[in-house]
Amino acid sequence: MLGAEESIKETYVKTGQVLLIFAPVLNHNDRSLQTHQAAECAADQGRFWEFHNILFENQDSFWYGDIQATLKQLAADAGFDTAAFNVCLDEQRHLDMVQAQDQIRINAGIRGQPVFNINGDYIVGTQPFEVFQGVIDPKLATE
Amino acid sequence: MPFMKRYCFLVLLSCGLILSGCAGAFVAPPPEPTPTEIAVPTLPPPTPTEATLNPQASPAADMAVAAVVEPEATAVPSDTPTPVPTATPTPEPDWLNNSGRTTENLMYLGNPNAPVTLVDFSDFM
Repeated sequence: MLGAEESIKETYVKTGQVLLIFAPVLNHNDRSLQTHQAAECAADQGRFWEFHNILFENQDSFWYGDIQATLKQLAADAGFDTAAFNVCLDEQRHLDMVQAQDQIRINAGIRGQPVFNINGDYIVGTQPFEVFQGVIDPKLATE
Repeated sequence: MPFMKRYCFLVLLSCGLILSGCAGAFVAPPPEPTPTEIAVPTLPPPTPTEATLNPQASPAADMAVAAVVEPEATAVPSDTPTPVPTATPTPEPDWLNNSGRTTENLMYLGNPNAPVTLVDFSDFM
C-alpha cells in the first residue's frame, strides 16, 4: 500500500484504534514470490514492517534485472544481517508460508490489488487517506 | 574704666581665639547610617554553578540565574517524607512498536484488541 498507510498508522494504528494486517497478493509470479519471501526473511530479523516500507518505496526496480540481487542490496543498504538474509532468500525458506498466505486472499475471492478489508467493508485500489477515514471513523463511532 | 574695657576686650578675644582653635575638635561626627541604608541588598558574586550555567551571562542574566537558584538554596530540609501520588498515570502504549502474527500467519501491526481491523491485500510489485 504505502500512500495513505503512513497517515493510517499515525492516526489510527499508533493510538490502538486500528489493527493493520498485511496479506500478500502474488500477482506477478516469481517476482512477487521473491519480494514476499524477502519480507519474511526480514521478519526473521524482527524488521518486517520496516522492509515492507522499503519494498514499496522501491517497487519500480523489481520489474527488471536480477530481482534477488536487488533485494539483497536493499537489505544490505538497510543494515540487515546480510549473511542470514541472503541464505534465507537463496533457500526460499518461506516459500510455503507465502504461498499459504496468498491462498487466504484467493479464498476470499480477491483478484486485484490493492484491496482493503475494513471490518468487512472493502476499499479497492489506491485511495487517499480521506477515503479510509470515511470508512474507519463511523466504525469507531459505533464501538 | 578704660583698663576694665581693655581687660574685658582681651578676655573676650582670648575666648574667641580659644573657641576658634578648638572648632575642629567640635565638628559634629557624620550621622550614623540608618539601618535602611546598610540593608541595601547587593548581589553576591556568582557561584561556580551560576558561572557554569551561563559563562557569558550579563549582570542581568546573573540576577535571573540567582533568582532561579535562590528558592532551592533557601529550601528548609524537612524530615517529613514528601507524599508520593498513589495513582500514577499509565503511559499510552505506542502501538506502532507492537507487531506479531495472526493465527493465519499474517503479519500484523498495532493493538490486537483494536475495534477496527484493516487487512491490506497487496503485492510489492
